[in-house]
Amino acid sequence: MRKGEILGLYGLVGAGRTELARAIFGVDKIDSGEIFINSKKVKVNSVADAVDNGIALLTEDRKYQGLQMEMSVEENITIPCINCNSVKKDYFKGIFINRKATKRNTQEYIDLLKIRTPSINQKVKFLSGGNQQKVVLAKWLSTNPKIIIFDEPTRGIDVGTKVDIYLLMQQLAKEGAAIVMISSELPEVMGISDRIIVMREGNIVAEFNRDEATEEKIGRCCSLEVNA
Amino acid sequence: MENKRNFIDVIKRIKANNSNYSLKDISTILVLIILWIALSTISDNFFTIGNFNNILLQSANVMLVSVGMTFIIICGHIDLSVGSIEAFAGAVIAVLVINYKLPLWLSLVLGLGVGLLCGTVSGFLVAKLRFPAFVATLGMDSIARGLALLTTGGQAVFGFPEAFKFIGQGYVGIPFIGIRIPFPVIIAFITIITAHILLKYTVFGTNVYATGGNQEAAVFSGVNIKKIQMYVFLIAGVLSALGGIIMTSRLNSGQATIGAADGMDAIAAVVIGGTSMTGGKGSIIGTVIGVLIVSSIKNGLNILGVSAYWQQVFIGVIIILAVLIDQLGKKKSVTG
Repeated sequence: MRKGEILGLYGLVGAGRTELARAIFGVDKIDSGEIFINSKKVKVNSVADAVDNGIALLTEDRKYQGLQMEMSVEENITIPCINCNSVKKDYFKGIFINRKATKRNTQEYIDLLKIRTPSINQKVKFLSGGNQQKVVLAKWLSTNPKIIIFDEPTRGIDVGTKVDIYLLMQQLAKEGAAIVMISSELPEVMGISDRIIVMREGNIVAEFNRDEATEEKIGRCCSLEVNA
Repeated sequence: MENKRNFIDVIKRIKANNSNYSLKDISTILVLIILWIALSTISDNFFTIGNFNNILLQSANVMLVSVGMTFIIICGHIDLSVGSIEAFAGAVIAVLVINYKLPLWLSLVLGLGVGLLCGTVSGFLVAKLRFPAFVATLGMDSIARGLALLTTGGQAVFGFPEAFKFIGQGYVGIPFIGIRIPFPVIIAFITIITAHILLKYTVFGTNVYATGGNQEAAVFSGVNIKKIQMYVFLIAGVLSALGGIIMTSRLNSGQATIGAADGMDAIAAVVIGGTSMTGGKGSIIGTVIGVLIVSSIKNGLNILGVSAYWQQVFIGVIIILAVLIDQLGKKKSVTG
C-alpha cells in the first residue's frame, strides 16, 4: 500500500474480506502471514496494538461493533483515544480523564464532519444512521490513523451522507493516509479506488489498476468457481 | 427577540445535558424520601440521629458489597459469592489473630488477600475461560463457604484483642458538629467516594461501562475487556472481604455463617438503584440509595414490630417493582 492511495477490496460476501480486516486489526489471531508498515514488520496482538501502529477499522456493523448505543457521542468518540498509548497522553490529567480535552476533540469532529446532534452528551442511539456512522468515523479519526480500513462504509445510510463519506475518504487520502475500502458494490469500488484487489474464498485472486479494471473482468474473478 | 432565542437555546442545552439522567434516577430518590416520610409519621423513633446511625451501621457491610456488585453488574456479570467471601475473610482473620497470634495488621492484609484471591479466581474463570459468571461465582460461593467452615471448624472463634473491635464498633467524633459516627460508616463513605470517582472519571470506569454496554464494540475500540472483567471481580472480592472484616468485628468473633443474605441484598440494592442487569448502565449513587432503601425498610419494619419473614416479602416486591419501572422505561424509548 502506498501513502495517499485508496485501495478497493472487492469480493462477494463470504470471500474473507472482513476476516482479513479483523486479523489486521488484532481482533482475531493471525494464522499465517505478517504485517508490514513502512516496510517494517509490526506485531499486532490486540486492537490497542493496531491503533498504536496507526491502523483504524470502521466495522461494517456499527450497531454491534462500532458504537456504544447507551453512551454519549462524546464517550463514544473518546473510548479509543483513552485506550491507546499513541494518543492517550493528550486526554489525561493525572489519572483522570481530561474532560476539557475530550469535549474539545468531540466538538471539533462534530463541526468537521457536520454530525447532527443536539449536544455532545446525546446518546448515540437517538442519532440517525448516517450520523452514527459519522460518530464512528470521528472516533477513529481522533486516533490519527495512517491506515484506515472502511468495511462497507456506505451500507444503510442515506445518499447525502454517502457522498460526504466518499469526499472524506478522498480528502484523507490527499492528506497522506492510506485507505482500504471493503465493499460489495462494484460501481462504488471502481469509482473511488486507485487500485482494486479481488478476494475469493479467503484468498486474493486478482489485482487491477484503476484504468484496467472493468466490471466484467472483476466479476469473472469473483465467480471463477462457478465457471470451472 | 434575541433574549427569547437564547432562552430556547438554554432549554435545549439543559434537555440534552439531562439525557444522561433518566426519570428513574430521580424516582429512586423519591421512593427513599417517601419511605422516610412514611416511616417517620408512623413511628416517632424512626427519624432520629440515633436511628440513622443505626441504619448506616447495619448497612455498612452490605454497602461495601453492593459497591463491588455495582462494578460487576455494570460490566454485565453477576457475583453470587460475595456473602461467602465475607465469611471466609472474617474466619481467616479470626483464626490468624486468635489461634496463631499473628499481628493484627498482617491478619487484616491477609484477610483482604483472601478476598482478592477469590475475586481473582472468579475473574479468571469468567474473563479467560469464558465461564458464565453465574456458574463461576456459584462454585466460588460454595468453595468460600466451605473453606470458611473448615477454617473455623464450624464454631465461633472468640477472643479478639481490643484494637480489632474498633473496626466494627468504634465511633469517630466529627469536630464542630459534635456527632459521633460509627467507624464502619466512615469506611463505607470513603469507599463510596473512591468507587464513584473510579467509575465516572477514569479510563477504567469508562471501560467498565463500555464492556457491559456492548462487549463487541468495546473490543473493536481497543478496550482490553479481559483485563476489565478480571478487575471488577477483584474489586468485588476485596470489598466483600472488607465487609466481612467489619461484620466479624461487630460480632467480635469469627463465624463462618455470616453474610449469607448479603449477596441477595446487594443485588437487590443495585437493581433498585437503577443499575441495569444487562450491563452498561448504572451508578454508585444509585446503589447507595438502593442500599438505603433496603435497609430503611428492614429497620422501619423492625421498629414497627413486623416479622422478619414479612420483611423478605416486602423486599422481593420492591425488587420486582424496581425492575418493572426499568422495563416500562425501555418500552417507551423503543417506540418513541
